[in-house]
Amino acid sequence: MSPLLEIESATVEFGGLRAVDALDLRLEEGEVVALIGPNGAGKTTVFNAITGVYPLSRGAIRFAGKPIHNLPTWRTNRLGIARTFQNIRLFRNLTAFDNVIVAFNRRARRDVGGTLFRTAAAEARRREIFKQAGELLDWLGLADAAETCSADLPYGKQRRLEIARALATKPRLLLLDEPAAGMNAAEKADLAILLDRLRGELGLTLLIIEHDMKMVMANCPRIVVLDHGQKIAEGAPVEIQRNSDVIEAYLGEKPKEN
Amino acid sequence: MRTLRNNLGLLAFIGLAGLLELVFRHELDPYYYKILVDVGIAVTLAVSLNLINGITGQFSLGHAGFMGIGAYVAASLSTLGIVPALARAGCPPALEGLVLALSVGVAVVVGGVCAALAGLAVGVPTLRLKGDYLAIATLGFGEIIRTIILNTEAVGGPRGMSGIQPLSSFFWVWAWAGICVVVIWRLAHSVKGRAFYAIREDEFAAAATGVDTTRYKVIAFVLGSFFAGVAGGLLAHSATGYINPSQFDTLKSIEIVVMVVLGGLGSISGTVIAAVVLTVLPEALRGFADYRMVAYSLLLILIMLTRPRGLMGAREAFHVWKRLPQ
Ligand SMILES: Nc1ncnc2c1ncn2[C@@H]1O[C@H](COP(=O)(O)OP(=O)(O)OP(=O)(O)O)[C@@H](O)[C@H]1O
Ligand SMILES: [Mg+2]
Repeated sequence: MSPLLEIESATVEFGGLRAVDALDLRLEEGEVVALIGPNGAGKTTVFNAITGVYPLSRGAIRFAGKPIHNLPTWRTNRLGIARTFQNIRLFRNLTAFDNVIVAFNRRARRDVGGTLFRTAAAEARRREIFKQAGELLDWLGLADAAETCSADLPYGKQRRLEIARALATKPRLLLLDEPAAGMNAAEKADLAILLDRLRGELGLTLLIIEHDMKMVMANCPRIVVLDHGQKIAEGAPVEIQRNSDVIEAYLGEKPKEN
Repeated sequence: MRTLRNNLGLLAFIGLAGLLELVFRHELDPYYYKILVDVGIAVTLAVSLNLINGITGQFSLGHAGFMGIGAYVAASLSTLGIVPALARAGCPPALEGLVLALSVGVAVVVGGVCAALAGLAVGVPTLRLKGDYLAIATLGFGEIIRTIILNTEAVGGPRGMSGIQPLSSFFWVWAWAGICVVVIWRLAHSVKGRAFYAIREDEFAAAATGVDTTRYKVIAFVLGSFFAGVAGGLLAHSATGYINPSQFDTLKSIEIVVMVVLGGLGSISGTVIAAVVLTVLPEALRGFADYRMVAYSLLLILIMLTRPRGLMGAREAFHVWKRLPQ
């Protein structure tokens, strides 16, 4: 069986800058993998390449066996890839509930007549989707925030709402870009529980960019380390902690030559 | 039936417009009648632009261009096609009024469809542009339309077209306004329709959430253009029976944008209120004589200072979109 996500010597260039350099990465269904590396290593660019934001100048990305590196962003989502953003990108003037409703776009039936005439059948379908959206917010502990404008939510809840919105698209692969950034210890503990439920209850495959090493070591059985766009190490937390290249990249003892 | 009940409001509104028409036609001073017709057309124009500018966040300055297409197509059809054809066919006089009204109604719809097709042709290449660039591209489009009309002798060129059947009654204008508001409201408040607001808020996040953003932007542009074209057709057939290219210039587009901004970008009810206020206001200010437009502008500045996000902000006058009881 082919892996869920397969990145093969993918390269992303911005002018002369090689932000991602011949990266190979495979994710099996149900895995939880961390993508770490110093600032500017190219981690977010990897997410952007997977979700069709930037074209590859070389290489390929396959999802469930299908090449996806030429697809527009919305199509990668329809195939089952959802993400959150390093700098939260909610629909700020919409309520938490409506943020999630937008993500039901794919599941809502296209029915112009039913929508314009508010037919009984179309209304029943709408109520069903409202119910599912309510349940999803509930599942993430956001039920009381449903009618609040998303920009007015506390920071931790905004991060949760981004995850809720991603989940509403029914993904198989969830890409989380620094989900713990700016969280306090209690919020981080909640997040760790949530990650566990995402994998355990929903069976999701997770790829997580995170700077909080404690969080990474405790929750991700496999870690991929990126530096200057290249993969410099890959393995279990104990291996990564001992890896001299990784320590060097983070402490920057000697300048990288290339 | 449930479906019928959900549409009773619109049917009742159209019925009421019909009843009022019977009263107003004979009892109301033609001056006030004309203002009511103008208000109905303004509501249609402003709400349709609100779908593009306010709800979907695509800043268009070409709305008057689409209105002009609708006006000239509908007026040409009725004046150059339908009226002579009816005369030749020798319709029995008892039926002539009805046949004429119906065929002009069709001409107005055809005008709207032509405006929508133009919206499709303009929207597909330009909606990739963002913000100011889109505004300039649509502004250019509006000017092109005006110039084309200006140089088309068959429709009177700069002299305009006159002798158009004055069939846009209070009833037709307000029936269309009601349809426009209900269609756009229901679309925007459907599950899929929330994508319009998402694009305004953050286009990239909307795409990452599975929204085919190009598709929704084009839908907003085409539907908005359709209603602008219909409004143009209604205007062409209003009491004066006369149109000319300068009625569809950039100033007109800006006037409609002002209604949308003043009402609160994205608020449908706010846009309706602003369209009414801004159409009635210049008439109400006639007492100021020469200083009328100064007073008008000062009032606009005052409103924007006290309510910088428009009369309604992004909210609606009544909060309908909420979780239905299960
Ligand atoms: N759109 C872009 N245009 C030009 N350069 C870019 C663009 N996006 C990213 N870069 C550059 O690519 C490199 C990698 O950026 P990226 O955001 O992927 O880093 P990162 O690993 O996510 O860093 P951080 O931990 O700070 O988020 C950086 O040098 C960045 O400046
Ligand atoms: Mg980053």
